[in-house]
Amino acid sequence: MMSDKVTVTSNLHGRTTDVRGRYTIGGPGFEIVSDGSVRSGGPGEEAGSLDLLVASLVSCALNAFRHDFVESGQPERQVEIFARIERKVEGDYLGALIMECFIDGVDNVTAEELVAEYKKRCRIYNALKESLPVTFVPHASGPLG
Amino acid sequence: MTTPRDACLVDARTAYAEGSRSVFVEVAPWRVMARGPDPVTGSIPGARRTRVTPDFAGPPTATSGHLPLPGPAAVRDALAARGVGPADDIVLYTRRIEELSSATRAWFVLTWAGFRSVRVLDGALPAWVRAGGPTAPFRQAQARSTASGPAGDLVGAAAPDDSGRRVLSVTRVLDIARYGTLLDSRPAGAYNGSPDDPRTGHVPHAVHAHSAELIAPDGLLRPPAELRKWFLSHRAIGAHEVGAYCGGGVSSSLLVFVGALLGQQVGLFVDSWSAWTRDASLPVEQGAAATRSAAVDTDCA
Repeated sequence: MMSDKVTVTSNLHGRTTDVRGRYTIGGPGFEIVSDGSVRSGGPGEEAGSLDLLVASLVSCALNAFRHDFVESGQPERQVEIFARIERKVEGDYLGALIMECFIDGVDNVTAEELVAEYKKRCRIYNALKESLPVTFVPHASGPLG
Repeated sequence: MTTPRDACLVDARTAYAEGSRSVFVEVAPWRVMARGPDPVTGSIPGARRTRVTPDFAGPPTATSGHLPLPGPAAVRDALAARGVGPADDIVLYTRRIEELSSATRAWFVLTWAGFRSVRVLDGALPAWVRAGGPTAPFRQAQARSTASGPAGDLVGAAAPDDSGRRVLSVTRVLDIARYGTLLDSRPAGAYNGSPDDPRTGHVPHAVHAHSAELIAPDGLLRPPAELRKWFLSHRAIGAHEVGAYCGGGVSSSLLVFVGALLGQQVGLFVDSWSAWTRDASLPVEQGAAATRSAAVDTDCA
C-alpha cells in the first residue's frame, strides 16, 4: 500500500535584484540568475523563464542519456543536446520543442531506445508533453571502438 | 539515393574516379586569400579557369555591395565561352583551401542562374593531388559541345525558382535579424567594430559565425556531425528563417553552402556589409556578443 507521507522535492527562493527585470533564484547550494525579456523591460541577457523550462528537460535528458543502459564498469557517455522552441511569430501558444541529441558511443537503435526510456520515465516531460510537444532528433556516433 | 550533401559536395577520390564525366572549373578569388607560394603546380587537366570577378560578380553600382550578383545571362555567357553549359556536371575547385569560399560563391551563382549539377571539390586542389589526381600546365580548353545551346540560352537550365538559392534584400535582412537568425561570417574584429567609427560593427542582432571555422585542420570541411553542431550552436538550424552576410557575399556563401549540405536553407545577402555600411539609414550595432531582439516574444505571459 502506498504511503501518504509527503516530501519536498524542490525548494527554491526567488527575488528581485537591483537590476530592473533581473532575478536570482536560489536553492540549497546554488543560485541562478534569470532575466525578464527585453520586450517586457528586462535585460534579456541571462536565462529567461522559457529557457529555464527547456533547461529542466535538457538537464534530465543529459542525465538519462549519460548512463541509461550502461553496464556496470563501462564508461559513461558524452552527450550534447541542442534544444530550441519553435513558434509562429504571431502564435498564441508555447511552441514546439526540438531536442537534437548527440550521444557518443551508441548506434541508432540504442539512441532510439534511450529516447524511448527517457519519454517513459521523465516526469517533467510527461507533465509537459501535451502543452509542449517535444521532438527528439538523436544523432548516434556509433559504438566505441 | 542522392543526399543534399552528395548533390553539392564531392570528395577528391570520387571526383577523380568520375573523371571525364565532370567538367572541372577552377575558380580564382577576387583578392589574395593566402600568403606564400602556390602549394600545387598545374591544374586539373582540362579544367576551365574562372574568377570571382567578373565571372561570378557583376559591376558594382552606387547602391550595391562591391561584389553584386551578375545577371543570369551574363553568367551563362561567361561559362559558355569556356564550353560549359547549364546541363553539364560541374565540379568547382580552388587552388588553395583558404580560397574555398570562392568556389562556394561560384556554386551559389551558378545554381541560382539555373545550372543543374554543380558540386564543390572538398579540400580544393591539394585534396585532388593527395587522392592521386594528375595535374598539368593550364591550357585553354576548346569550346566543347554542351547541352546548353547558344550562349545565354536556357536549354538545360533549371527554372530560377527551383534553384533553392535565396537572395536577400535589405528588408528581408532586417526581418531575419529581428525574428530569425542572421549570420555574420566576417572575422571577429570586423563584427565587433571600432568605437572610433560608428559605421563599423554588424547588423543588430546578427550572430558572429566566422565561416573559416567550418574547415578542419586537414583542409577538408568538418565532418557532418561537427558542421551540424556548429550550425546549431549558432542558432542556424530550424524552421525559422536563416540568412548570412559578410563583406561582399563570398565568405558567407560558404555558410549558405554548408547549410545546403545540412538541409537548412540559408539566404544570402549578396550586397553584404560593403553596401550596408554606406547607407546611413541602416542601423549598426557594435560589440562581441549578439543581442536579443525585442521583437521576439519569449515571455510566457
